[in-house]
Amino acid sequence: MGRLHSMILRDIHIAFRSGGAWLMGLVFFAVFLSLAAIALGGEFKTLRPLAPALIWLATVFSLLFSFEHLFSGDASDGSLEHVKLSGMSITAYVFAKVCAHWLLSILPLILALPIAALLFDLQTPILIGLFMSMIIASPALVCYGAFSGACLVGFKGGGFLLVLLTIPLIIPVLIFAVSAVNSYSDAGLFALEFQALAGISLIATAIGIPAAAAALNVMME
Amino acid sequence: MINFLANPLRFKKFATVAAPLFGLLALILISSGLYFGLFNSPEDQLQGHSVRIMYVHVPAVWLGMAAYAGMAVASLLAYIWRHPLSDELARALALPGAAFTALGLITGSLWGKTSWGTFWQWDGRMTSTLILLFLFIGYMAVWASIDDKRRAARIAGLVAMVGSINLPIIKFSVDWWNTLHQTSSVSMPNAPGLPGSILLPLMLMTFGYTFFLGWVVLNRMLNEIASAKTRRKRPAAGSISMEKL
Amino acid sequence: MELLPDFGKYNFYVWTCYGISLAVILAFTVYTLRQNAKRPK
Repeated sequence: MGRLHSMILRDIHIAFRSGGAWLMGLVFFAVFLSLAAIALGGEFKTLRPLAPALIWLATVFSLLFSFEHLFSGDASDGSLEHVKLSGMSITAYVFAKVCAHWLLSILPLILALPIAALLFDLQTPILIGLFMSMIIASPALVCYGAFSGACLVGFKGGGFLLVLLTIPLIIPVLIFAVSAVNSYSDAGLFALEFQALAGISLIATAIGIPAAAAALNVMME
Repeated sequence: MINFLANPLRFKKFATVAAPLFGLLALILISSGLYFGLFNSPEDQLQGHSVRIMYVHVPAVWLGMAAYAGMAVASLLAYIWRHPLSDELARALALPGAAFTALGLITGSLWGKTSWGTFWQWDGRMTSTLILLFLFIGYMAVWASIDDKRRAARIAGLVAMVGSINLPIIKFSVDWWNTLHQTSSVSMPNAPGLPGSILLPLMLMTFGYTFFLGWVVLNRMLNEIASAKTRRKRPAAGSISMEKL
Repeated sequence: MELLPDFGKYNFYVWTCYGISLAVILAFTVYTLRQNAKRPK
């Protein structure tokens, strides 16, 4: 437990020391939503029904850019081998990375949701639906992203391959997350969409983390 | 049988005999399928002659899905038993599988034009097939992007396995999503209700495509095995071989 | 009897589908045969 703890704190410290680079996701989120609103004409009448979809698209895109660097830092400076030599299981390491990544990338977005609700003039039930969907779906997002990131560690050819690998895994999350937001007003957390999201997140965590560890082990062979 | 074929020499003997046989079967079945599909089958009551598209669309989609399933199973076997031949099977299935899937999308789009009036519809089947194509392309890109081919095989195998576990989830979510919009699927007549005259060309083409896939895949594997052997015998010019040291 | 039957309203679509399908199959056939010819013995 102590090792996980220190791993997570280490990642957060590195991120803070990087001078704001970790905030890029949040900035992209804001930029995407602003551009979307502007491109769509700026009228709340048009924007309100599209808002859950746009906010979720902004979330997915801003996350996609962050997966590339999830493991590349540790892999290139040898820390990854150190972790393996220290006896810590790579699976635990991946879990720690995923937690840190959640704190650094998802948490800011969740905290930014009230502002997003403001930009699109959303009612409170919708905002709560957004919170809930983001919280329940985010494990799936970070775990699948960790898997693709682990597969492509050391690959210098550009992040698009990573996007291509992650997208098919993310599509079900996107589908259920967007409609969960709207369903919250009717059925609360008992809506089918939230159950589906919870199931998907559980599966993603159960598969994605070990698979990512396996991929990292392959890379270190 | 898998254990029998796991021995590369036995596989080579099997494939050298089986491949031409599959090729011949493919030729016969596809030719007769084409004959019946185009010249000797009735038109549909509702769709008219456009139902003939089903004879090339459905087998293409099915074979695409079968190829992916084969890729996933081969990847699993390769991962558990570290068998390079299994990796080669998965890799050999990728391009033909992707091609069949793309063919399914194109023919599905043209069929859709006749039944929906548009070349595309975000319905459950078309969307799932499109995602399947992305899965194939991602898999092939992994093989192409990682230089060390042994590593590429393991990583690609992981990608195939994780992708295949997700396939039911993707299918479920896309179908569910589609029911929200009630878009009409490409109208395939219901399987139990298919009259023999329509079932015949469909089955001929399906089996024909299957043997064709088998022919292509076995040959891809044989070619890969053969060229890997020559690569091992002839180290790259200028490189130091262990013997010289 | 003409060589290629006319399928009425959707003739273009049916023939395009078959044409593309056969083109893909032929392409793979040619590709496979050429790779086989190049195969070192």
